[in-house]
Amino acid sequence: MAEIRTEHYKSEARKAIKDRTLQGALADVQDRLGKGTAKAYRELPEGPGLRLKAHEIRMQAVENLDILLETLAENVRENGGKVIFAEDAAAAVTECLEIARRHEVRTVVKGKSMVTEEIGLNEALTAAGMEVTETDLGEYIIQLAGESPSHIIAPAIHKTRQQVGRLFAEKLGIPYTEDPPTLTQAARKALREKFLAADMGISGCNLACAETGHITTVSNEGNIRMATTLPRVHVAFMGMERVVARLEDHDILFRLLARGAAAQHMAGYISYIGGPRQPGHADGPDAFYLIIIDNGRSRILADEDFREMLCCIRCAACLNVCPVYGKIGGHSYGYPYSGPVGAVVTPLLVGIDRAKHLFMGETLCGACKDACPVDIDIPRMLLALRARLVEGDRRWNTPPGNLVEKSAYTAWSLAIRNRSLYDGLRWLSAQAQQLMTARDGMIHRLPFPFSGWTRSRDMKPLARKTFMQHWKEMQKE
Amino acid sequence: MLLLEKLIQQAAPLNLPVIPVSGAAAAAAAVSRLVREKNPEWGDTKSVVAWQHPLIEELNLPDELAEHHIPVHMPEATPQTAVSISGQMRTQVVESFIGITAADYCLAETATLVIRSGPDQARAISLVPSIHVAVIALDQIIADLTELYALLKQEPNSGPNHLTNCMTFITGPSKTADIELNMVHGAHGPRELHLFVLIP
Repeated sequence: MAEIRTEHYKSEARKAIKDRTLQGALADVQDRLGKGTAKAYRELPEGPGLRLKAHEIRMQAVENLDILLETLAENVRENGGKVIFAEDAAAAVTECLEIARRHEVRTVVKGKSMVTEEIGLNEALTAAGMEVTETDLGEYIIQLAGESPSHIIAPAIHKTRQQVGRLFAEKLGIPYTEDPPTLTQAARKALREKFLAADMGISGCNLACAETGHITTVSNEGNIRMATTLPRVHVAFMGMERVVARLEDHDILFRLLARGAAAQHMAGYISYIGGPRQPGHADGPDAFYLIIIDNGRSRILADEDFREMLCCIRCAACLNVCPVYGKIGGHSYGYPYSGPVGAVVTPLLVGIDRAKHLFMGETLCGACKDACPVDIDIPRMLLALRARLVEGDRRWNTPPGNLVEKSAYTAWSLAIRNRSLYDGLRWLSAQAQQLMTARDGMIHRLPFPFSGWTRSRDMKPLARKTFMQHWKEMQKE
Repeated sequence: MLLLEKLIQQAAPLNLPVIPVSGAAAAAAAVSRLVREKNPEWGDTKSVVAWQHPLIEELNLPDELAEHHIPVHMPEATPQTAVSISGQMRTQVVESFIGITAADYCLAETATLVIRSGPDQARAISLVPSIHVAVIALDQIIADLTELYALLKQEPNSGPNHLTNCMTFITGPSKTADIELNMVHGAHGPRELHLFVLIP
């Protein structure tokens, strides 16, 4: 399992907001990718409504997962590949270690894969004595720096070119430079050696195709092609929801994925991989394994409120428009999945109560839904998570929420239904707030237990006269 | 010809030159000029690795480049000796600075090459050399993904698995924007991609 740091959301967020470099980087990402994606949708020949069709395709697949996964496995096996179903992170990691042992693997090159971050694969392989190299440039940078990804598709977006320059000077022994092409070339050279020497390549899976028995991998750099073409063994990891029925389903999904992820018309490289090198073929790995991971996804599938989240294709479009992600960055979310997708997926994977800050912290503004290439209703699920947190749910091991908060709301609901009680409370508040209103006419600090409200914003005091008082006066005139 | 125009237009912002050439002789001359003009990325010696494919064999590149002392490897795989040939092929691919392939299709809508693996269609040749040169015939240009998927399903000789174990879509040269969103070409795959379209 990846380290879970969701409890530190608030303190991490506060730190991120004060980090001026990070604020600049986040603003840049959102300004360029967020706006670019919206424009790319508008320019679709079928119009932005194509996202609804994509939603339908994904939902259909999610609702028929049992059949699709069986068909996929059968067809991959027919192509000569091996398929393993792993119930949880530990099982998936164990399977991979066993494969590595069987093939006497010492060095591993990896393409970027969120699900391997989720199961903590790198740590396990390293602990078993293997050398693991991340090969996506962003992932390589953060691996060298010993950090975790802060964005689903641009993992090193929080690092400046100067930081990367110093990092490469130290770790790769090149003269300091902050020129992105020179830095990229240095990584290209270092990683080329790794690719050529590696025993095993590890990739994720963007969208498998059940009817043909192929996984697909998508990249712009070509690193995943290198990792899946040159080493002797290829192991692909796939979250069990990442499959569609037919080849033609990929048509709309790939076009939207490229737009959502990078405002492109088409990703640089898409590979369909169905198994190892076929007999007589020129090259490719000798062995191909597909590890299909559940790790809590069955529980999401079983819950009608959250099943829709399994449509997600991890493009990160929602991160690029989210006002909360845009301020607090990816690390605050305390788990590999950040932004709106993280605010829903992480609590469902690690525990609703444990990761409650993630969905409580989002604004419900709806920008993520408009940006989503498969039109997932993330705001609806954020609300549903809040409801589960308050009401409790045994299926999710979530006890009923804070009793104090609950009784406060019960009292409030009684008070607002009683005219004289309400008026009395209002009068009391009006008196009390006079003492708290500063000279500029705003309240800067409320006393406990309301102090949280004014920690990062001022409050406007109640109006001198209520609407009802105004109304009565107007009636008299 | 409309599809070719569309392809050229879509390829431009991708840093992907599409070069229409009339006939094999003109194509051979153009490819040969490219090989002579470009410099190797990793060493001083020039060599080229290419698929054994009718479209490429027609260019007669080994002869074309012999006078410039640039070897052209065209590795061959056979079922019996696949593994050992693959070892030799690997060296040739790694040492070559230009890889020349054909393609199954090219999608005009997105300027995407579609390439399936095969006995003489090494995956590494379009990937490991610093420059990828692709040669296609005009009638291999099709409209878009919709047409591609329909065609793949209808191919007469494709068998139950019409994709082979590896089918790759290539749209432009390798690129990254992982350092401050600066677009840089040549992250891991080819730094340059040149697409020659043979006009009959």
